[in-house]
Amino acid sequence: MFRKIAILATGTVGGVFAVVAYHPPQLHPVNTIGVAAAPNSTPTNTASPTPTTSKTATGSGTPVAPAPAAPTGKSGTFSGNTANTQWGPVQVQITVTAGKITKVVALKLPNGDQRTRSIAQQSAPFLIQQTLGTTTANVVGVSGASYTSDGWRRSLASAMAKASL
Amino acid sequence: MKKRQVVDQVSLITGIGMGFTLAIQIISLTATDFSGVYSIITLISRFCALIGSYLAIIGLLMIARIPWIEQAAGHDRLVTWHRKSAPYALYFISLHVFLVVLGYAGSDRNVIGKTLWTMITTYPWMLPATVGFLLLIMAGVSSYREFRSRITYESWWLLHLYTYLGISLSFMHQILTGAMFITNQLARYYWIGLYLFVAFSILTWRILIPFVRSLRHQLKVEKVVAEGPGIISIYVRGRNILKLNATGGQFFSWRFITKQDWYQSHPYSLSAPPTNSLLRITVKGLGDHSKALVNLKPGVRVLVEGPYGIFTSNNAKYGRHVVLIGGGVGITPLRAIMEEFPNNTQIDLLYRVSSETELVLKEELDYLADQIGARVHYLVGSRKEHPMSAAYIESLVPQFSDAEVYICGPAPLVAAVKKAAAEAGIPKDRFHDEAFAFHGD
Repeated sequence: MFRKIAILATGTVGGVFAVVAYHPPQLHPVNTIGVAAAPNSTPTNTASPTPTTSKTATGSGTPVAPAPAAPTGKSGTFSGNTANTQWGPVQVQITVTAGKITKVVALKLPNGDQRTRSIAQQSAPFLIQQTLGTTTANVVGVSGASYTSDGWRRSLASAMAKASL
Repeated sequence: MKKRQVVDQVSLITGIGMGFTLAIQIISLTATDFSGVYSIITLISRFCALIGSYLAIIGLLMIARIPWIEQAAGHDRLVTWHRKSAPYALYFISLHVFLVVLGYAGSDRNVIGKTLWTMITTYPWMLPATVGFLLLIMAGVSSYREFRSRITYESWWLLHLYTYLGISLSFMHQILTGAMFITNQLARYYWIGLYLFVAFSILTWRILIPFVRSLRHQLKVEKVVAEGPGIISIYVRGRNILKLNATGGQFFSWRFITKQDWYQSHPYSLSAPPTNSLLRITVKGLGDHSKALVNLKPGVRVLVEGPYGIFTSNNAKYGRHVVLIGGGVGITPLRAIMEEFPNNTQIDLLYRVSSETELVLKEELDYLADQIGARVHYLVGSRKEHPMSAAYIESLVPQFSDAEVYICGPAPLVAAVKKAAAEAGIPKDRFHDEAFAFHGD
């Protein structure tokens, strides 16, 4: 009996260590801000003829989208509309540089209850990663966080529309 | 020994599985899990859920009749471990339910009842999980000694079947709401794989193979013979029975396809070594089911699961002198293994009953003893007349301490002989008992 318990315990400790070594937990507070790796060259594209003049709209909360700069406004920071989900609001803010999403901030995440917060915290990094550099608002999303993913897509779509992407 | 190695390996794998199970929560820890007392309570509840579910899964695997595990550990030991570990599965799962509601209610500053209602009505698959939990509690409570002794084996068995449903119903809420599965695909695959493996094992070894075998061997009741007061022998005829590889001392789980009792199966030991066309069991009418067996008609179809058990002559470690001890109807497996020992084995059979009328298969035993040169000691009377102590057994069998012991009978008798064997200095591996075959109810 003692022998079997010893074997069981050894297996358990070994199993825990093997998995944790392979995939350590992310214990620091979850970053709801994602920045794409710096582009290796400054934008030489002619697609944005007036890169420095386009104003940077830092709308937080209420959308202060630069509507007039629509045709050429391919740089700047744009906040999407708040998308309400069953578990709370989602709001995405994107920073666009030369027509590419280079920075993503989760301004609001569902906070309906404990479980929702926990899920949102875990799925945010994945959603940010999927959003960086995307050309469509229809990101893959995180299975199991379908409400958050859905809200994310809607808010992102409005942000991208404002950025005319 | 090889069998011990298999048990060790299975223990190690079980341990590693527990490690993986804990790890999938550990790797999905986030800072929010430690953001307050209630978050920590929720976190503990998730650990409880994983541990409880894992124990439940292992409990199912122990009784899934996986052949190499049955062979190595023995069916009765597996059932004993199943019995010992199952309550802990229930404790952990109950703790999970309590703590998760408490944790959620606390961090959302809600009353517990309201939180519970919200969880059940809005979270995916939470209502089935709640029903599943109640079913598990019901089956668990009915297995507690207090309750178990008040209900028949048949009722207990039916209630126990609901554990399968309970565990199945709770599965989806784990995958869809468990924080550890939502963002971690590997954790999800591991967990789904675990459940699929269990489902596969049960379907294959508890249902499919026994069913196919029973049909192939075309088992049917041949005749029912009265052996003594309330004791009957059932002869079952079939084809190529030797291919079942059953030996004396083993048992099958028997299902007789009659209108009333087709849905339940019961374990009974073979009371004679199988021949290629016949199996025999000898049963005392104690439970509802075994009483109903008296009325079995020839030709009734029989489905069997098995053979199970390692209470067999080839498990003897020493084997030149064996002492077989049977109490009451527990004599049946001993009658069956008696003629399976090698020719030069010296055999003493001690047959313990409280009155003369309970002596069953006596003529058969006397005949066999004469054939193989065994000595049969009929010990009829009270416990005072026949205290099964080391000194008493040695007065009947002087070389008891050098012998290999096989015992089957009521629990007090087994306990007494176990003590006597230990006093006589008989090592554990020369002491064989079959607790399960004599499930006196």
